[in-house]
Amino acid sequence: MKKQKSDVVIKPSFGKQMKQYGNLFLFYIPAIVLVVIFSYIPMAGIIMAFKKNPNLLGSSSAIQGILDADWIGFKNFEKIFTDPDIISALRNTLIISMQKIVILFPIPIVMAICINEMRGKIVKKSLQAVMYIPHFLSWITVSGIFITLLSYDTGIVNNLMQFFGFDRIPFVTSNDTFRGVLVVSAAWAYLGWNTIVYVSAITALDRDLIEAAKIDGASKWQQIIHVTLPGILPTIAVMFILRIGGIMDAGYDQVLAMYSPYIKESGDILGTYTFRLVKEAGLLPQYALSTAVGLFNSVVGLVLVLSGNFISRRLFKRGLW
Amino acid sequence: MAKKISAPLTKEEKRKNIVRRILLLCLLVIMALLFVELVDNKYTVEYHNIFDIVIALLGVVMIAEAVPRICRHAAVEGFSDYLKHNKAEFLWLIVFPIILVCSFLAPGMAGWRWLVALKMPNVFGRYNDENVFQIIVKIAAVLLILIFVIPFFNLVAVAISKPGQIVNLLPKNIDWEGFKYAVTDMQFLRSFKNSIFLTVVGTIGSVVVVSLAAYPLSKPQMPLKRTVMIFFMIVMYFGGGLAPMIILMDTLGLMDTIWALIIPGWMSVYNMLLMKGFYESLPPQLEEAAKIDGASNMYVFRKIIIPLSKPMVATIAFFQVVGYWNSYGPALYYISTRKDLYPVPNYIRNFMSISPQSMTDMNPTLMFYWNNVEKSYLLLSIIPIMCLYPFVFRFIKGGMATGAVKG
Repeated sequence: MKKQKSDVVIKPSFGKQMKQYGNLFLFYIPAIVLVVIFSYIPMAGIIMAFKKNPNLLGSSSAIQGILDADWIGFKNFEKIFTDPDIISALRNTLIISMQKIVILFPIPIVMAICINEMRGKIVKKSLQAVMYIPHFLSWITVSGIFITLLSYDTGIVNNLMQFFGFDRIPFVTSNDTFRGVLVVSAAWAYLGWNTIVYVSAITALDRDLIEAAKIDGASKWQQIIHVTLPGILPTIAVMFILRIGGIMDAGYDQVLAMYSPYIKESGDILGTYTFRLVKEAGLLPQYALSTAVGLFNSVVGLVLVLSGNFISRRLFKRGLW
Repeated sequence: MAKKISAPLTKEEKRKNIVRRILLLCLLVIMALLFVELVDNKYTVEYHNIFDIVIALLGVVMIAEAVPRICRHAAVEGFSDYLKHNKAEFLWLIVFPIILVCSFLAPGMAGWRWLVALKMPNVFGRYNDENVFQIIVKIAAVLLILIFVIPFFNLVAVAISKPGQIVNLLPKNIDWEGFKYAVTDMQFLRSFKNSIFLTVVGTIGSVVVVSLAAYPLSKPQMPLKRTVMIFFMIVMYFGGGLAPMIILMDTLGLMDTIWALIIPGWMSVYNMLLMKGFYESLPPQLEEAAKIDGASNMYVFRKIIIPLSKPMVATIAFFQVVGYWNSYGPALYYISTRKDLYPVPNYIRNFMSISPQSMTDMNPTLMFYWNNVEKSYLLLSIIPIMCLYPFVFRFIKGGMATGAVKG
């Protein structure tokens, strides 16, 4: 009823709207002030990417220092493709992201289907009770837990490996295994949480279809392949496209929590690289280069997110906005 | 639950039942043997030949079953019909015999025998029996539960066992000294206090800012709604990065203060969208009735909207509590000299990065129990979240899940 009425009503003029809702603009004030200060002003700092590194100590204020620095055009960006450290960080970012997508993307779907089909309450409830916990822990805690588990001298994993006759491996500080540690700890932390989307998608499916398939004599396997999976395919596709959009973020918080100089070669990603440029002790902060690398990262990420969103809107009528 | 319809089985059906049970057994035994060979490769050397022969025999049984069945099927329905439903099995049938032979000639090919998994859809597909599926799923679920729980057990065990011994899941020679040191460590307690302060202030501020800003955005007739929306959305996907933020904090004089960890987190666009979605789901009639009675926008918000939105506010508050409690980035960027302002994660990170050998004037208790103290810190940092978790578990299963999907 309401819907029909509002269809007929002509949209009131801008002035009338302002009169009616104008005072609600007050509600925006704190949010807008915060966004301008902590998001839009730093965006203006991006001009540093096109300048020489500002000399902040020698000038009267930071803004003056940034403005005084000489323009050098795209020199900083050229470094991204010539500096071996940055190239290696870029490669690591992509490799770690790809590994996470390939290995970790399908598992929550399988888990959600299994949870949904599981009969009996005890196992199901206790699995659901424990699997969300890691998502609420800090990456520092998670990395502490994994360092304990994987420790070379006393870790339980190395104890087990020794028991089965393998050699002990320094997992967290070895270039061969560090990416594996990242993937496994990301799995531990996020798998449970990521099933939520799929579980709710399956719950929203029409139970009648599955019942009909059962009556037609479809086996469990056939029900899953031919009814459940096609039903949640749009959700899977949208999640996948979004996940691809986030490929430039290889899990910055996680890598930074586990980072040590030993694994620079395999674990240094763009995020940790920009961090070290400005915060590494005993070095003059490289604000300009750090901004340039960060800008490159977020522009590529933005393009991926936007195009992913565009594709998913076109194909599945669903997107981020 | 499905009702069991009991009809006497015909001879044909009984034979089929037996065949598919044998097949399932073959498949599972092969996979189990392969797994044992993979995991236990040093102790099974003497059994390797026996294992290989058993795997080959079982494989031959499976192939012997498959070939006549496919021929029969092809004769009745046509081969393309078979291929349509059983692509994986056909692939298995081509590849597996070759690999079986090759793995005897060239041991390097042995890993490829895992391709027997291609047979799985066929074997399980023919099994109409729920029970098998349930058993497999439940075993997997129990394993998963163990995977999620064992790290915590290990952490507790290491934290309260006497140092210098190998500890797995259960504590050995319980010794509380390290834990006691952690609980009474004034510096750690101060970081705990910092964390509580910044979590409380941050969460309250964030809930206020977000619930205010989301309200006008949820009004369909709000002027300039689209513009404001775009203004906020840009921030969600694009930012200036780390270096400008550090310079900004420096200019604002927030460097080395606890406010640098609190204020930037107040405005979260994602939470604002969740809140906006919730406001939009409230029935508009309530508000219209109040408007007709002459209530102002402010009055409506205070007296009608706020009381109704308690569940969503609780959800967002929980997100923020977790976010503030766990974040360690801001303290890493904005606090450089004043280590007494560190929140818990940074305190632990700092502690883990020190090696005990490098300290000269150290408390001998701490030196001896270094590892125990570290694990006790980790445990203590988890406790507040664990206290909240049971209350939130309900939200996770209910409203929050759908909110997360909508974005």
